[in-house]
Amino acid sequence: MHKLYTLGLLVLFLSGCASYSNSFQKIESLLVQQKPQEALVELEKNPASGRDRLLYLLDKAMLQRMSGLFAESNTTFEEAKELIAALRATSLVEQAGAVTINDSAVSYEGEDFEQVLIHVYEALNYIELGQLDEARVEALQVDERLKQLSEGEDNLKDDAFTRYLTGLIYEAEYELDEAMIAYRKAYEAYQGESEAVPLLLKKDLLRLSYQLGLMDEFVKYKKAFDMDDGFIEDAIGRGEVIVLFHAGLAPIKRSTSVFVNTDDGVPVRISLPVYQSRRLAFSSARLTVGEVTVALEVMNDIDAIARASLESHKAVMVARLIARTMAKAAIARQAQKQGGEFAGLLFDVAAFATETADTRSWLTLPKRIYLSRLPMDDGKYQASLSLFGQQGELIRKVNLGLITVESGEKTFIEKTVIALPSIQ
Amino acid sequence: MKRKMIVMAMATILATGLSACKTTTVERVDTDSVQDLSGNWNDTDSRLVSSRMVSDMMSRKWLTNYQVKNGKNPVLIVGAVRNLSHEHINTRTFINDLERELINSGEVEFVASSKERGEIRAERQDQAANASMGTQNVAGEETGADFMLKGQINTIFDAAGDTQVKYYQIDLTLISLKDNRKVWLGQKKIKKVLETGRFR
Repeated sequence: MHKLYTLGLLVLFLSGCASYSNSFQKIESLLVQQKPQEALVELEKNPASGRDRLLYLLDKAMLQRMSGLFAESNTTFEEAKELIAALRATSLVEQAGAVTINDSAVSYEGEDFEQVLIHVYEALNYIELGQLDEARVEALQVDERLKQLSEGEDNLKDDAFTRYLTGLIYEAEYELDEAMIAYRKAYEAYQGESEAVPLLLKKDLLRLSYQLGLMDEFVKYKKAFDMDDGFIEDAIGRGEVIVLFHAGLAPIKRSTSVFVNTDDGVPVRISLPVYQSRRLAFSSARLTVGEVTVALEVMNDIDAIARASLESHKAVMVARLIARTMAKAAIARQAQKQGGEFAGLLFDVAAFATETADTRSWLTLPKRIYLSRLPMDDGKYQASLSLFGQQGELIRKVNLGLITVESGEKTFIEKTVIALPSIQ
Repeated sequence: MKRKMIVMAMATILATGLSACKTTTVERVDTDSVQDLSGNWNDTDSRLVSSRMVSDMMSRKWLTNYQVKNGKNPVLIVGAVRNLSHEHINTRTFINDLERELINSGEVEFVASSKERGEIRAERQDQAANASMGTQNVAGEETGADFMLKGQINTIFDAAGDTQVKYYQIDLTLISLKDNRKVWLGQKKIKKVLETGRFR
């Protein structure tokens, strides 16, 4: 009987690392109520130190920036970066755990796109702090990271939005040639992704190639985009309002089970993570600054990127899961031979219970990042976002306050909306 | 009997778990000692670069030219040192290192930076209103700087496999405030090679 207890204990201990995504409910409900400070307090009650440390740091940094603590958020992001650098070296102990227990036995290193987004949000924090040179440091770092990823075996496609944002930073630093390179890379990347090339980027390519005197390129773009270039003279030299709108929450991983028969006909269960999207309460958005209104464009669909990323390493994951399940089954058969029916059954139960999918992911990321740029004359303007439903009906107006525009300068405005609670 | 064994086994596990808690140890080291931890820009780089570059600056022609022509030491001010590198470098400590080296050289005079000047002017205004006539420092007698020192830090970063190469280039320029002439250009390079482990 004692054996059973011990085994039960073992199972409890191993599966004790319950699905990460389940423990997120309370924080999510606070975020939906637009209470990031309280969500931060809630998160900090359980600081993870082990294998989920990176997730804790990422969520913390994100909640800090949502609470307006930009400098603190960057300190946390820097800690996360150091951790990733340390985790890049493979741990033999953890790998053994991943082979015999489940994928959650390995420290979470972050998906490639998540690692890239650390730089993006750190850069945005520096922009909020008015430290453009430091935001430029992040642009250089992420440039290096993307280069490494494209050369690595995973062959991550270039990240279009990240390229675009680095272009924005260089432009704000008056480095137009650097910005042009970044926009070109963003253009290539958006073409590679299924989504269409944003109109904003087309305008930027036309304007910058014109400003830099790259007339061949300008003509090429003008032909490809079939656009009127009257906006260029209108934009050069004026101030500009740039609005970044982070909407909703990234998809959450859930565990699903699939039964597979091994060669000797024993049914085994493998658990796969699948993404479950989170709903966005509106379908389009417009920006109003003073008397002018423009549409916001989806520049980064994190939901889609996350799904594509999971899909890209699904084959490797399934192969690993089947191998592990077979190994567990072999141990159970061995136990059955030596310890009888009951022992075999116990090991089968243990194998079944420990086989959970790795559902860890950075959950405080937005579902989408919208962007809009608007050239404006000097002055102070009231700004707001209007959110529309599927039938084009106005759902909500979000006030952005009074903003100041200076000629030749860029004014960055950020807004995060997780959900639209029914009570205003 | 078996129960006792289980209890003992669990106690052992608990004990090993607890003994894993480390106690903090502190060791004091000389601030001049070189300690490379991550390969990033650190205090040693800041100190070495500032002292080398300032001593180069002090040994060049512009200084004696100025002293001979004007019969006094030039007055300097440090402007911005821009960080255009891959790293978040604290340029303020670097600027402080530069200022210290410059002042201690004894060859140049130094005036407060624009930020510090604001604070000092406020104090002078306060003196004008509250201090006795004999001890007042009046406005309009500030020393204007003759030269401004500006600079930037750039990096080139390269990585392949487990090896990384970091190359820093620090450029400083001394500009005459009278006529925008560049009287001295200094450059210092640092190259670091990093090897990272494959396993932990």
